[in-house]
Amino acid sequence: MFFSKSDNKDNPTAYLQEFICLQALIFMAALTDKPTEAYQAALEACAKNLHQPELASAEISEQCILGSLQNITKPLLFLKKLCQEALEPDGVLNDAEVLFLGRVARTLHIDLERVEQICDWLIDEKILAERAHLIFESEEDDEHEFSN
Amino acid sequence: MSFQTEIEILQNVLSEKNAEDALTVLEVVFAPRNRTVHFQNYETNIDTARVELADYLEKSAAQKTVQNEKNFSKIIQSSFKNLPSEPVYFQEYYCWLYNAAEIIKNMNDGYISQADFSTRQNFLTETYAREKEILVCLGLYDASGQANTSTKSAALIKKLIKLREMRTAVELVTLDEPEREVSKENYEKALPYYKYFKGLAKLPFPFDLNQEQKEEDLGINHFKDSDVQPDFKFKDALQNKVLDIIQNPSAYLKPDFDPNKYKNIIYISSKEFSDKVKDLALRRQTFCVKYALLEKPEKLLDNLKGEN
Repeated sequence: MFFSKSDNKDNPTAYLQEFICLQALIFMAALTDKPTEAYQAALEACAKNLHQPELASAEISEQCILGSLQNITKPLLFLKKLCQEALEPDGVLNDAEVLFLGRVARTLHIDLERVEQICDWLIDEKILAERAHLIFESEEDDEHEFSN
Repeated sequence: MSFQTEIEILQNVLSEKNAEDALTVLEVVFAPRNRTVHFQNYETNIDTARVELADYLEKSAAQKTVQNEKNFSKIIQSSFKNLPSEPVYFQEYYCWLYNAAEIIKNMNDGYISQADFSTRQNFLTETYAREKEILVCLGLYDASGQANTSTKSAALIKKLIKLREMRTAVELVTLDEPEREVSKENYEKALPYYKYFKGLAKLPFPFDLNQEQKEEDLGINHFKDSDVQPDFKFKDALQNKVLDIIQNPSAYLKPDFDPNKYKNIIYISSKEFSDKVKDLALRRQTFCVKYALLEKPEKLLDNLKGEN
């Protein structure tokens, strides 16, 4: 899941975090035309894991999500997850995503500069991956020979 | 490294002057002359407010440069003798001269260390940021239409020209890659520029070489830039810029941010600096501005509608 490795059936607080996170990701997916079938399927699988299969096709309002954020215990990790998904696959945030992430950050009392730091860090990861591809392009199929 | 837009610069000044609840960026930039506005809990003429905001912007920016300058005592010793009693606007100029000369020296002394290179990059970034603030200031003075701003504007324009010259010189005679040797040829090319800035530091502002001689010997002369000519309308330029930002918030991603500078900041070699990397680099340090542009303009326009 998003914050832990188990589905947190027996931990209501953790379950709530996962639920709110999934709601936010489903809301964000609707803001763009980016989501692929695979991503949509992944969201449906997460909803099923949380025993809320109808969530994947529910209409969720921004106000509802912002209102539930008071239950988030790890706001930075939560925001990191949202930024990570929003920046897939090409590191671009559209205007709707920027507004939503900014409002989530403000609701969680996180400085916008911190959001920018998180986004920059995630973009740097993509840059590193692209640089690795450029350096090791000719041997990428044989990566397993020296992998960790 | 972050690039404030003109709107953000004005928002910050209004906030620091505790004026943001009563006066908006739109009013500051677009209100017709002699309009009565609320400014810091009293009513005043918009032109007076513009001058006060511009004075504050330039003074606080210059103060910040001087206060953050670790070598200020060395600068006083090596500069124009009356420097300690000069206003902070001019003290800042001498800080720039000292730093430009030091960067040219350190980047051409045989080897470019990481520290040398970072100092160079920080200096170049600061020049772009200060240039933008100075242009906003000039736009406000021009918009105010007040006769007493002409001397201030003239001095500020000269300061802007010198700032651009220092930046151009640093870019011309220092390499843009760290951890490499520098040849004697580079050193000899850099030497006249080092001597020029060291010489200027001994003179009162805005003494300078003859412009034609400077252009011939050093190849730098921002006196001919179109936006420092007597007929240039700084007010129109500021208004156009603010309108561009409001009408197309994503446009700020373009020319102001040079992705090639990013290549130098995180030391990517040219072979790894593909179009995809450049495109990703363009996306960095854009979130705050983009959010401010997307969220704030609605509030700015709402304020205006509310007043009408």
